[in-house]
Amino acid sequence: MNSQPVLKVENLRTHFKLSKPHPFAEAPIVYALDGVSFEIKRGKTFGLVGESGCGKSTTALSVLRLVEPTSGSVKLKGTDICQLTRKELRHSRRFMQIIFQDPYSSMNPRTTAGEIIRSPLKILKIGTPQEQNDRVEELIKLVGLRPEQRNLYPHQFSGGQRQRICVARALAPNPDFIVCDEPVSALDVAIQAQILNLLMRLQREFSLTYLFISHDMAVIQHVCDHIAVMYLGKIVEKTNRRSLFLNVKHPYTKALLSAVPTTDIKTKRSSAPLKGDVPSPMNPPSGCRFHTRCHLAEACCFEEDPRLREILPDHWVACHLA
Amino acid sequence: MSNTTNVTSMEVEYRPDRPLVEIWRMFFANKAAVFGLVLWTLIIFTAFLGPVIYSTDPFDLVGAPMEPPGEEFLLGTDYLGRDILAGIIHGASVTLAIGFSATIFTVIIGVTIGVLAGYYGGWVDTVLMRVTEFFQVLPALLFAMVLVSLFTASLYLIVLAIAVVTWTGIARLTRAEFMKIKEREFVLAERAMGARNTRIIWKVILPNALPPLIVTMALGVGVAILFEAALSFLGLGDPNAYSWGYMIGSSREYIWDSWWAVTFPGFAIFLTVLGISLIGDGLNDALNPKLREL
Repeated sequence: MNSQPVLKVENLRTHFKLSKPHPFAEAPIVYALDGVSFEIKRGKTFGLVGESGCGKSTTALSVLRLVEPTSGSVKLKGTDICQLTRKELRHSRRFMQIIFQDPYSSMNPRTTAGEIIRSPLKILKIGTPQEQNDRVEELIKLVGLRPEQRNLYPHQFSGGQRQRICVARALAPNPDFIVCDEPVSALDVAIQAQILNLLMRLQREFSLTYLFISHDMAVIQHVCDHIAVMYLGKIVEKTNRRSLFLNVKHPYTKALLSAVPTTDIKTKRSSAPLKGDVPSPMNPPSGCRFHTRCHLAEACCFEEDPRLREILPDHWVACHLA
Repeated sequence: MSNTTNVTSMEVEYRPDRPLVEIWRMFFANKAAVFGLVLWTLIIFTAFLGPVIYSTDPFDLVGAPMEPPGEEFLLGTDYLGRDILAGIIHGASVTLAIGFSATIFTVIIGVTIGVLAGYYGGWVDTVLMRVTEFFQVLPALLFAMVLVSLFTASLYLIVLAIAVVTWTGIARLTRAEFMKIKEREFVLAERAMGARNTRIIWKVILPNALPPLIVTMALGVGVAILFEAALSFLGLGDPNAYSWGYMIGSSREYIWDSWWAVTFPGFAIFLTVLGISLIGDGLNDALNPKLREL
């Protein structure tokens, strides 16, 4: 197995400038993503977890340059996506695709399922019309739809079926890397498992690399090899699946894990549930960004921003107290 | 296709992808809209076949001046002895041509500006919207009169003048639709697939923005006809084109002596604009059922 990472993200920052409240004011800046680094090896799934507003989706969009990152680099198979010209970027889109959260709004309602799946091939000019047609047929079967359904419109499908179409669309140009931005959050629990299994089957078959974004710890635990926990635009804990659930270190991760519903009565809740909301990324707290909600916070947490340290092999934590 | 018969509250939402058959059925269920369609079928029929069947030249002085409607001239004659019926029949094609071509120009100007402003946003939007506002605050009819009177009046000039004073509505509507639709996730999905702006604008967003635009275009035809009539009434029409507006304009001084010379063309304009308005409303209901519920 090739051990070179397919995707290597280094110190990625995405700041949004808001409009000025009055002409002489400084434009407020949202620090949506503030120095995120990770890498994903071929055929692996890297999970990003966190509450809403922590920068997960911004990461997804920045990695694909659907949102322009402020600084940092994103290397896909060695090429830095952030340095590409618009034309080069368009060409490299065939290697990286995305599956969106909401299968209801991520498809053009005026096109049929077949056209939707075909659109990346058409846009990227891959193959002759006949080859494209065959590819669509193949993909439809691959994701578990019936060939005659290619002529139906998105509204004629159920949520799960729609997400299958989105998966087929993402798969069409034969990408190496797919961003799954909360691909099952909008679906019923029963359907969630089907889509997750489909994604995992396809990963094995085509050795796909996934960046998998979710707020659901149970889903993350099910599909991811490596996991990073995000809080306010930063990664606070990053490790493999085994170590995260065995040796959880960061108080925020502990809180997230304790929020996963369990059927085991004997399991004790390790920590109190989180109170309040994520502070505004326009004005992030000083020191450790989590200190405002951390029940362990000490004096140093208010002043110094903890760096990501490797405290166990392949287990990185950004906490003074870990 | 039984979706319309039992819609749940979610499905009532505007769906641009509803099959044409369904849209037609909703349109035909609307009696007023069908009445409008019948009116317009008659008018278009008159415009194309009328001159063949009733070939009297409307400019010819065929009878005594100001002859009231009667046996010889069904709708009477005007102050020069021109046949009013011939004017109505021959004027139909002129009036329709003005209505349609002015609307086409309006759409070309309005959609282009609206697309650029709505899609690109930022300073492009700011500049284009200031220009649009400039045109919006000018009194439309007065502006059209100035444009026409600056040059020799011709049908082309009148069409252009109408387009120049009426494009702002379409531009604002297109802009609003584009601003709304470009935020939808499927547009982001297109960009993720590497689509160029031209594809996103013309093949992805515009088809989704079309229903409200079609309705506005239909109503725009009526507006253009009224504008032409108003200009002609004020004596600024093309004297070589026998439009209904021209008929009213030329006979307005004799309204007390020959009411028929202005009433019949006025009635023709009224029915034409009424027809297209009913069609436009019907299309609006058929394309956008959510609005009708409100």
